[in-house]
Amino acid sequence: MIEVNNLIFGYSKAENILKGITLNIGKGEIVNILGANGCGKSTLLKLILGFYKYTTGSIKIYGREVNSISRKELAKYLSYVPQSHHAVFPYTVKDVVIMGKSSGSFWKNYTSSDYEAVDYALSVLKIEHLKERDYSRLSGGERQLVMVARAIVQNSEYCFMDEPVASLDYGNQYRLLDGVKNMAGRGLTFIITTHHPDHVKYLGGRAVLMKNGLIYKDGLACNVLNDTSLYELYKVKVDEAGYVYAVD
Amino acid sequence: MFREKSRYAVILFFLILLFAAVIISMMLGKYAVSLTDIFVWLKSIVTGADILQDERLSNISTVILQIRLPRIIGALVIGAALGVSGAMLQSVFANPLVSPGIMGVLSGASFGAAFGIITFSSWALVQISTLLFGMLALFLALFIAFIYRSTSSLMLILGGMISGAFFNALLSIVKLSADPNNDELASIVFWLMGSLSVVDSNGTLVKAGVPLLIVLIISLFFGKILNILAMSDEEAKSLGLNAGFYKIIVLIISTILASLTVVMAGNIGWVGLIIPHISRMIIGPDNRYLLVLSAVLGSLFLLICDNVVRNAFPYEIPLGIITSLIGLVVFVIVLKNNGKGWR
Repeated sequence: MIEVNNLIFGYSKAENILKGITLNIGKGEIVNILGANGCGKSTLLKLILGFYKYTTGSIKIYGREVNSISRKELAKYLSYVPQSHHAVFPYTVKDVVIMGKSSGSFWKNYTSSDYEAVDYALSVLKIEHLKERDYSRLSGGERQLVMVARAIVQNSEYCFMDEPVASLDYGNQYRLLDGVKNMAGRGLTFIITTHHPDHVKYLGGRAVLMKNGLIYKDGLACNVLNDTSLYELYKVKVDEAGYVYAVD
Repeated sequence: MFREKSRYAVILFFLILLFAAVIISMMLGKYAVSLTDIFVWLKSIVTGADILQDERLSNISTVILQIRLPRIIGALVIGAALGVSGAMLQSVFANPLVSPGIMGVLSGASFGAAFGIITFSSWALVQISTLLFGMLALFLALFIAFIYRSTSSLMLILGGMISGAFFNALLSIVKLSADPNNDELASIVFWLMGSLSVVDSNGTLVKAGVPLLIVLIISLFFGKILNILAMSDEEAKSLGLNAGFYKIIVLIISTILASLTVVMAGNIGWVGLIIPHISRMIIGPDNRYLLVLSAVLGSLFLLICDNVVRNAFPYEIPLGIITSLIGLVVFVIVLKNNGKGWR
């Protein structure tokens, strides 16, 4: 259980990005976070992941403040798929995915069961054929899937994805979403920021709509996502089929 | 790229090559020593025979033990340290163009050496000054990054550049004020070009070499951590690693390695840049293997270069000149083959 309570945060003292967020995330959910650029989606994600220190409000994981939990322990609960990723060195896909097993010990070598976990994650996402490939030469979509595989190997309870489909083509976007659905069916909790209401409808689950650093609406995706809320969020007019016909 | 088991075989292959190079280095020099001589000498050591009875054997023993072996050991340790230091820094900054000079360390250490040469008469104090200013340069770089409350790679590199420029300016002042008539300026210039000819003066080989070896061995355990640090900071954190803390630890370790090499042999350039590149081409970027191979290849490269400067010219030229010349050529070739991923 992740409990965010009245969280206020800004990168500078002059302006707060988050202006009092309260949000509970239970196990097994798919939580889609939507909102216009700059509304604080990614910031919220990174605060829960413990990347920044917050001073006002609280973020608790199983009743404990995130900022007081060590990085190593946090990695057991939370994994992270970055927005886009580029490796400088020619690591193989296997090398990258097995890093998910690092937090056990940074000094000991990987075990054979660690490598089995890699094979399992690659097979779940149907990318076994990439195993020995050079990660730095994969397409954006393939790299994103590899990042998801690493999160699976990490075997955490909650997986955070920051706009995971941002650099993917149409087919790969849905391939990734299928991977998410598949893993959600196996009990992994997903918290995903996205700019695509149609993806949220495809995935199902919960939609949290953010506006100006506050939560504007929170509920089942099918109930929350409608023409009124999308207009509020993005100032676009949507018809009944979900197509945009006017922009303000 | 090799799989796990063959990676060990590759390392073993280069270790054997290194061993052969050590034996050959014992033979090369103005006083001729043959392979048979070395075996006879080794045998007499193992069996405990009295070497002094045989004049030729006693000469060979003196040449090897007092002249050639210290240089060989110096080359091995320094080459390994520069190779490992470079490989560590390249991973931490996720930047294949980084080398031990980047954090201002070599500039700081060079200034320390030059300052020591004009200030102190004792060689030991010169060496202490070298180490201290090498470390000081790192702390200046870290302090600059700290002012901006950031351990991001960009801030660290900027801090290193500022620190390096600062100590280079100080070095120029020292050079200007050095007395050209009593060898001070010549010693400074020679030192800055790097050489193994004074590697064992005042027992430096033990005093600096042993700590260097210890830090070197510790650094070889950082493979897994370096692999993660080569990803982004946020990824490292989400994988359970305290990225900022380990970055600084790695920086300190690589600084100690680089500074101690300056203490022992002055400023030897390019080894820390090209050796990790060549090693990565051979064995891949996984630091668990890369660090070990960088150590072995660094030793091998420096040993070969030292043999060249000792034997190929009528008089000895500074080692740093040869490593730079060979390094430049190798780097151009390596860039062609290895630079595809980041060009």
